Parts: sequence; structure tokens; C-alpha cells
Amino acid sequence: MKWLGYSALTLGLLIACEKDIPFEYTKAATVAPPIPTPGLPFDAGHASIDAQVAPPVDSGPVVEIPTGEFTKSGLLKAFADCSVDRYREFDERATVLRDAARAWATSPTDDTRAAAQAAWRSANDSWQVAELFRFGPSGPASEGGGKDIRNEIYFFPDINDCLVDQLLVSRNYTQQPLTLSLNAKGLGALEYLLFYAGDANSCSSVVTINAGSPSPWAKLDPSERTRRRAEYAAVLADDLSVRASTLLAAWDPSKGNFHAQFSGAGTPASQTFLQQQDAFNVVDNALFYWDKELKDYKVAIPVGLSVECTSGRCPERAEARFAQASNANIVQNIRGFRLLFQGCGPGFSGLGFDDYLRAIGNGALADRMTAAASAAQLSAETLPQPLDALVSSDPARLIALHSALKGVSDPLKAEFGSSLNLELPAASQGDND
Amino acid sequence: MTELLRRASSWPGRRRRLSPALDSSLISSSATLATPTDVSPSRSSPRTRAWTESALAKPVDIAWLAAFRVLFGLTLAVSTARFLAYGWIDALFIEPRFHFKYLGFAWVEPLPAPQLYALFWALLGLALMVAAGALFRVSALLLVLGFSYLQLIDVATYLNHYYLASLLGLLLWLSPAARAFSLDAYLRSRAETTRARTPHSQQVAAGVQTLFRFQVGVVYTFAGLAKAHGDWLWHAQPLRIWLGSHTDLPLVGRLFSYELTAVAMSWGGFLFDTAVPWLLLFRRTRPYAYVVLIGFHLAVGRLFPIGMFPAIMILAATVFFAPDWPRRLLARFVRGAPARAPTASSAAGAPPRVPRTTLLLAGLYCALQLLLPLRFLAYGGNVRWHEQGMRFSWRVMVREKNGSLTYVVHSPALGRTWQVAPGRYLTPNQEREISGQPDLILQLAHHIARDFARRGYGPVEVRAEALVSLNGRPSTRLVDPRVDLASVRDGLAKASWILPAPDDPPPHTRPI
Repeated sequence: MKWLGYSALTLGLLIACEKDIPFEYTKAATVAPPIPTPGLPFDAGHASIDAQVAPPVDSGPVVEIPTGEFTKSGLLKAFADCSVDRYREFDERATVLRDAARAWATSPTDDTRAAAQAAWRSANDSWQVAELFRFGPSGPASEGGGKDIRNEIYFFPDINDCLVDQLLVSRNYTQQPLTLSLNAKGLGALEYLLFYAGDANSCSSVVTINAGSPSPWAKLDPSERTRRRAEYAAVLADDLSVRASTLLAAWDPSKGNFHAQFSGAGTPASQTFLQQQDAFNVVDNALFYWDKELKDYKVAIPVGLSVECTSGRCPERAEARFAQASNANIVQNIRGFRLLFQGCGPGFSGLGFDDYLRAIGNGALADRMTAAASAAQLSAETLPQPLDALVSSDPARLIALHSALKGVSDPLKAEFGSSLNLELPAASQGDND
Repeated sequence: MTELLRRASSWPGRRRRLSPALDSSLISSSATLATPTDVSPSRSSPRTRAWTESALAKPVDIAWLAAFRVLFGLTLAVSTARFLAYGWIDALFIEPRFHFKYLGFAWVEPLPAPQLYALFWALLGLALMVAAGALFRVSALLLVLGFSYLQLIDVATYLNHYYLASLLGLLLWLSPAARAFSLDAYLRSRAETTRARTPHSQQVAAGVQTLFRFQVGVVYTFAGLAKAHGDWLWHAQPLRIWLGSHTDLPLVGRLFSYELTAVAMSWGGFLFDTAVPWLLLFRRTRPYAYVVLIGFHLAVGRLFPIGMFPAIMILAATVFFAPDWPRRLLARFVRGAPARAPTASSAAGAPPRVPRTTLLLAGLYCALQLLLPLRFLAYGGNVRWHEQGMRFSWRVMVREKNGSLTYVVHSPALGRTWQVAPGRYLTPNQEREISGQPDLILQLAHHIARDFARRGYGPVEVRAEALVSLNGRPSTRLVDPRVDLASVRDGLAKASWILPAPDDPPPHTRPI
């Protein structure tokens, strides 16, 4: 039995060396997390995030955790319902935009252009919320159910204004079927066509349309340029409307019914997601829009925090600067995040990831992330000028906004993923141990 | 078939000394084939050293080693084929523009893509050759070298079971594993039929099996001891988190949502790891232990994405079996297959001995295998947090770590500051690995400093904002954000720039 004694001794020594067995943990007094009010919707106690944020609570090992009626399948269904709502709204607005763009192309006047611009703003507002819903048919083809439709609708940050100008000259946008590259179509190219009416183009002097004297660009008189812009915009708006309808149809329970594939994850009803966790993983991946596109591309690069801005300040890299929609887009992105994180109902009520966190007993994290998202929204909503102007006039405001956004992306990348065991699909190549 | 087996297993074999350390030909006198049971100490032995040498040199049936060779080769073949089939070669070796280096192995670079693919195909072939025992000395050596090379390319690809595969491959190469039940043995028996058969072809020194048992036992023991901490035993973390994503599994999923399941499984895992090598050592407990072992590894393999790890451990545990287990198994299913190895003559002579050099080398190997996992003691603190002493220590599946990492780069000359996301340099796989591993954070900081200098920004200071969540805890700073990592040298010394681990307990989450 000597070996047994030695083994026990070794084990004891190693445990002692680790010094982190918290025998006192179970003695620590803990505060119970907020308990949902009976009879009210699950989020009723903390739904209006702007009105109140529950104070952070300590979590410990001895509390009884109220789970209410939360179920993972219920949350997935809420995500699916919310997605259908988003795409239905966008489809309607894309139809309005299509009609307005056609009207501008038919009669290129200031009034029809203004109507098309208003329709673009409306559709864009809707889509910026849906940008955070990049899973399912909207999401990457490498993920379950992904068809990359998002890129057909909005290809930020890779929109190429120069290519749009080149197409204005060549009129290749009239070819059928439409085979435009992604960076010269969608909402991004439409914004340039609808809101930029200048005489100059976005290409450098070495590009063909600027070569020669007179250059192909210079040969277009202003009225012809306007006519072509309207013509090109109508083509793109038509395509956008088709994409919007395709996306809605893919989710629509009465058509493609990806809704059932998604909400039925982990059941025989879903061939796409063998486990519910697979569905949660793609939503988590979509939330990372906040970190990369929103925090980095929309804020860090224009304000010069990123090395991709070599000149120190890059207002020209601001999103949707011709429409002066940079700030609004950021706010809508934040709203999209909150719809998924907090809930899709009025005032962000309803089921969201925060309810999942509360149900597993990590309400403190839900509160912190909700508060951080609320603070980021407030920071974005109170920007005193358009983002590209602030880059020069008051970069500190943008740096503060960047910090506020980081206040969400930090826990999103750290304990949020840990708490729910979420794994980004792109990061799960290979084995583990 | 029976004849093939007989010929392949019974050819006397040349007594080569290509791998002197473990070759049973080092037994310096002929001896009776030991009864294929466990080696047990003789209390009547007058001198411990003499007894040890004698016990280690005692010839036992080689069948266990041949079976291990076959299973090991097949497992590595499957493992290699998975890389080819799943596109992991691109994702792990070709797509990364930056590779994290092991200390002292910075010179190891990835081959160009075509050669890398060729290497994987070659490793697949070599693994099958090892399984078949074809040109074993060469194929096993190349397999070990090739497999180890792949692991040395990028620290971010480190996995405990790849490391174990390399160690087992090394031991296998040093052993006379192709002396029986191999293509080499079969071909030699055809070519040299006139040569007298000797039982040596059916024997191997008991010490070889002891060494394999030691290696596998070390894995389990340290994997168990790595779980002896509060998070695992008291809070059932990170198992509680992990089980939460499997509550929709058929039949067992519902179990995972019970409060006590994670606790029971945590203790079960700890007790299993620490006890199973001992239970496998004894004949009476071995069958039960192995059944439990198979169930344990299959269950773990079903729940977690650990690839070939269960297969490797299930096959590795066969080294604890009686040496003649494959022969007895074959006798049950193949008519005419001998149930016992041919016995040697009981010629009198000096007792078998193992050369001192061999003993010394084996002792050094064993000491290294004990010291490497224990080196964390020299650093103090929580190894799962600072990770100094984490690798090569069999700390398998003991922590859930996610983090948010941003580098803050400052150019004193230009007066500019940038925030750099690691994703600018890394693939998503690498990004996932780096966020919780300070030495990798340091390596990338050095790379960023070099990159900025190359871009003409001059010498820069690189600091890291690394917020890390350990087992679901709120994010805590892992690295001192005041330290200019560009000026910190990488090395084995205790890293003062790594901040202490959080001392609060992990949140008490409940799988639902």
C-alpha cells in the first residue's frame, strides 16, 4: 500500500501548491439575482434598458437560480421570428426604393431624386439593423444555411466608388443578366449614385476613365452623368429588391422556411443544425459584426486608431458619408445588436441572449453588457456632427465612442463566449484537447 | 491467413542494434520466456538494483508491442487522413501569415503548400507502413520526424495528444516492434528459411513494456492531478459550462441540466484519470478499468471536439495488458492461431541484464517526463492563468479561456498611437489560441514591432490590452498594460509582465 500513500501525499502536495482551492467559497454570502415578476413577460423586469439597468449582482455557488420559462428552443424561435420581421420590413422598404429609383430614372428631377434618397435612407436604416443578423441565408456560405445574401445587399466595407464611376462610363450595368461585382452594387453603390452629384469621379488619374484628353469621364456632360446615375441606380434598386425578396422568402415559413431549420435546431426538423449549440454559434458569429465592422471599420479607421489609416485621420473612410448616414448607421447597428442580445420586442423586451445568461445564472454579465450597449448607443446618438466631420473637429468624441463600443466587444469576446460555450465557426478548424 | 500469421510471427529475426536503447536483443543471455503476466517484484531479491535490472530485462511475449504498432500506425494514418480530408492543412499551416515559434525552434518554417501536402500524403503512407511493419526502422523514424516537424511549425496548433503521439512514436521506433507480426518479419522469413528459429523473435524485454506503461501512466496521472483545483472539483467548472451546450443531446442531454451532473462528472473525471493507470496495472481490476476507460473516452469524444484523442488513449492503454493478449485474442477468432508464443529453451546462463547505458537513458527519459509537467511549480501562481508550464504537462481539457486582445502600438518618434487587432496578423484559429496564452501574446507583440519598423514607423512600443475570462469569470487583465512588450525578451524565466490570476470563484452557472 506504500504507493497509495505516496500517491496521496503527492496529490496533497500538488493541491497545496496550487493554492487556489477556495474552501471558503461556499461560505461566501451571495445576493440573489433579480427574480422575474410572475405573470409578466420574461424580460419585463429589465426590458426597458434605457430606463433602468439592474445593478450588477454577485453570483455565487449557493443561490437558487430562477430560470423562469426560458428554453433554448424558445430563444432560437425568437431569433428566427425577429429575423423574419427584419427581412419583411427591409423587403417592403426595398420595394419602395425600387419604385422611387425607377421614377428618378424615368424623370431625373430634383424631386424624384429626393424621393429616391428618402427611400434609400428608409431602406438603409432597416438594413443597418439587419446587418447584425448575418446568419442563415444572409450569412457566410461557410456556415450552416449560409448563402452570402448579405453581401449582395450591402458589401461594406469593400464598396468601390471608382468602379461605380467606371461603370457609369461603360454602362455595363445595363447588361442582362446583371453580373456586377459585389463592390459596385447594393446599398453602398446606391448611396454613391443617389447622394453624390459632383463633377469629379472617385478614380485616380491613372484609371482609364481619366486618361486622355478629353478623358472618357470628361466627355460625359453633367446631365448625361445624372441620367446615367439614375439609370444605374434603378438597375441596382431592382436587383436590391429581388435580393430582399429572396432573403425574406428563404426565411418565410410559407416558402423556404429556414425559420423551421433554425428554430428547430437539434431536432429532426433541422437538417442544418444538428445541435442547438450550432445555431447559437452562428448567431454569436453574427454578433461579432460589432467588433470588426462597427468598432474597427466604422470608427477606428476613420479616426486614425487603426494602422489601416496611414495618414493619421481618414474621414474619407467614413461609412455612407455622401448620405451623411454614418452616425445613423452606427446607431442602427447598435439597435440590431440589442434586438438579439436583449430581445426583439418594444424597448428591447422579449427573449434575447441576456435571458439565456440570466437563466444559467450569469445575470451579472447580462447586466454589464446591456449597460455597455446602452452607453454605446447613447454615445453614438449624441455625436454632435457627422462622423467624417468629427474626425477633424473633435476626434476625442469618436475615440470615446470607440471605447464605448469596446465596452461591449471585450466581454463579447471573453466571458460571453465562455459562459455560453459559444464557438466562432471560423475558429473551430482542427481538433482540440 | 493462418499460415501468414504463423510465418510473420514466428521468424527468428535478425538481432539488429539499430535501436539499442530498447531492443530486447540487449538481453545478454538466452532466457526462458516469462509467463505473460504482470511483472511483480520479488521480495526475496537480495538487491534492488539487481532485481530491477533483471525484471526489466526479463523477456516477455512481444505480441503486445506488435499489436500496439499496428494500432498506432492505423490511428496516425486516420489522423493524417483527417487533415487531408477536412482542409486543415490550409487552415492550420498554409493560410497563417505568421507562425508562433517554440523556444529554440524559431528556425522551423512551414514547407510550401505543394510540399506540405506531399508530406501529409507521405505521413499517411508511413503510418500505414508502420502498421504493417514494413521497413519499420526507416518508416517509424520518418513518421516521428515528420509528425514532430508539423507540430513544431506553429505553437498555436499544439495539442496534448499530438505530443503524446510523437512520444509514443519515438518509443515505438526505439523498440523492436517489427520483430514479429510484420511485413519485415514475413519477408525475412521467406528469404532466410534456412536460419534456425529462435524464440527471441517472439520476445521483448519487459522493460520496454514498463516504459510504455510509464509513459501512458504519466499522461493519465498528470491529467488527473491537473484537475485537483477548486474550479474543477468544487465548482465543476469548466465542465458545467461545456455541458450546457449539450443538453439537447438524445437520452443523456437532459441529465446534463441537473445541478449535480457536472459535479459528479468533474469528480468522476478526476478520479478516473488518477486511478485508471493503477487499476490497469493489476490483472483483477484491469478488465473493468478498461471497459470504463473505453466508455469514458468515447463519451468525452462524443461531447467535445477532441478528434483522435480518445482513439489514441484507448489504444495506448493496451500497453497495460498482459504481453500475450493479442495472441490469445487471435486464438479465439482465427482457427489454428497459436494461443501462446513459442517458448525458449530453459538453457542455463547468466540472468538477463540491461546495459547501464540503456538504463541511464531510459531513466533520463522518465525523469524528463516527470519534471516537465511539474515545472509549473517553479513559477507559482495559477498555471491555467499564466500558462507557464502548461504545455507538455498533460493538462487536458482543464480550462475554458476566452479573451479580448488588442495591441496598443505607440511611436514615440511620430507621436502616433494605433490599436491593432490580432486578427490583422492571425487566422481565426490562431486568434482563438493567442487570447489566453501570454507567451503567444508576447511573440505577436514582437512581430508587430518588427512589422511597424519595416513599414517605416520606426521603433515602436507595443502594449497589450488582454482581457481574459477563465472558466466563465468576468474578464480580467492577463498582461500588464503598462509594459512595453516589444522590449520584453521571451524565455523560460518567470514572466513578471503577466498579472496575477483572479482569485474570485467562477460564476455558478447552471446548464439548461
